[in-house]
Amino acid sequence: MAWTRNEIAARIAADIPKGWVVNIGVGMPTLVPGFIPDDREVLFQSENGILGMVALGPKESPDPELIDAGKRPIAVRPGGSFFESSLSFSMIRGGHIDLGIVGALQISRAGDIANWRTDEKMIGGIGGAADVCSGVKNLWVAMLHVTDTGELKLLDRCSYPLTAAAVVDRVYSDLAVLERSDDQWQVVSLAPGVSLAQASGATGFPIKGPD
Amino acid sequence: MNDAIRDVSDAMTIAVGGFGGAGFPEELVRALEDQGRKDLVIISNNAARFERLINSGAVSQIICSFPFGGASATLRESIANAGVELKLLPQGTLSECLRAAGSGLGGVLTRVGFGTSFAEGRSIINVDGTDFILEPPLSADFAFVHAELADRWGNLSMRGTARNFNLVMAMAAATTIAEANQVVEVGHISPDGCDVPGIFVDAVVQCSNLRDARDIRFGLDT
Repeated sequence: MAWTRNEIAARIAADIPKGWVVNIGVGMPTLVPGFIPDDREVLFQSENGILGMVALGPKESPDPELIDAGKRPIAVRPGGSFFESSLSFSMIRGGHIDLGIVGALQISRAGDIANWRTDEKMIGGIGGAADVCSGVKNLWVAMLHVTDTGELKLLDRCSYPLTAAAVVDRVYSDLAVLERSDDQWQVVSLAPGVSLAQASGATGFPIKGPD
Repeated sequence: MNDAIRDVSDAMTIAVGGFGGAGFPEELVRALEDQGRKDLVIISNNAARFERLINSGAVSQIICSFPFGGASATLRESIANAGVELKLLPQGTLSECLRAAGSGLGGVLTRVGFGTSFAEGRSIINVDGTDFILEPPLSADFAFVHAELADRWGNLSMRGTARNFNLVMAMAAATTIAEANQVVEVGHISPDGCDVPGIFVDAVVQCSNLRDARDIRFGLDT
């Protein structure tokens, strides 16, 4: 049984150590904070200028001046802070953020990531994706292993325009958790009932079985 | 508002603060829509809130990082129909190039975009063995910014994530106009709580409609 989106998010959350500062991208990554236990202090940064972002409580009303990078209403935890954009990206580019969690359209064997548009002529928004992918200490990707139509997303080379080159450290998919070292990929774990042969067949480059 | 922006003329570059609706100078932009200018260059993180300005034929170019989310079909059409040139920069590069212009610096050396299409046509500078993309500074004739509080010296105080691009837009422009939910006496804004020192701001206007009357939308497309 492949992992569901929530199970992928929970799997990522389980691997985030106490004390890390984490930037989360749009889509599946936004599910991750919900799986961090209350007693583990993890600080979430959003590039529009907040450290210590938390979900809006059920009784709190949305504030138009308090949003995340996906423009959804949020709240701030005690110990959080607000700041302007250039300082926010100094945190991101300057290696001060422990982890970035992003979605992806394609990942290459060399760790390249394409996650903002599918061809050069398309009008798309890069937003903060290139900064986050290039700047964070660790980059983990939350994604489905193949597309809805069965096309591979983990490829020898990306065919879509790159967001950043040679940056991906781990992939958390519905089939497996994979870790990269240069152009070598190792399976950290497989989803229940998924064989190494199945995961390999859904991956466009060689992957090594779990130790 | 109309009076505050009377010196904006055709073909000027206008830097506009805000991220989505947060900290966006809605009233100054509405006034600009009424002004009937042509060939404006807009620098702002998002493009979605300039749809009326684009449809009126006032805009020739938009420099931004995230023009709009996937569902903005009408804006996509507007940009195509009006022949607006979209120039995309990674968000951190956009803010840093504005900061560089406002800081008297000759550009930004960044690794962001290296090995991607964002490096095309750029000079590559090697510093101690590492290659960087050289991005030129980004300046503007006018900046429009939004604050919670402003005083007549131009000191600004923001709330929450409304700070965003407002500081760098104010720094990068020859003339900065700030709209504020509340214009207060000099001394009311604590020196500890001043987000934009008045030195970067040239004029301050009181918003006529407080936040509750602003066009508040949440979600990716705003």
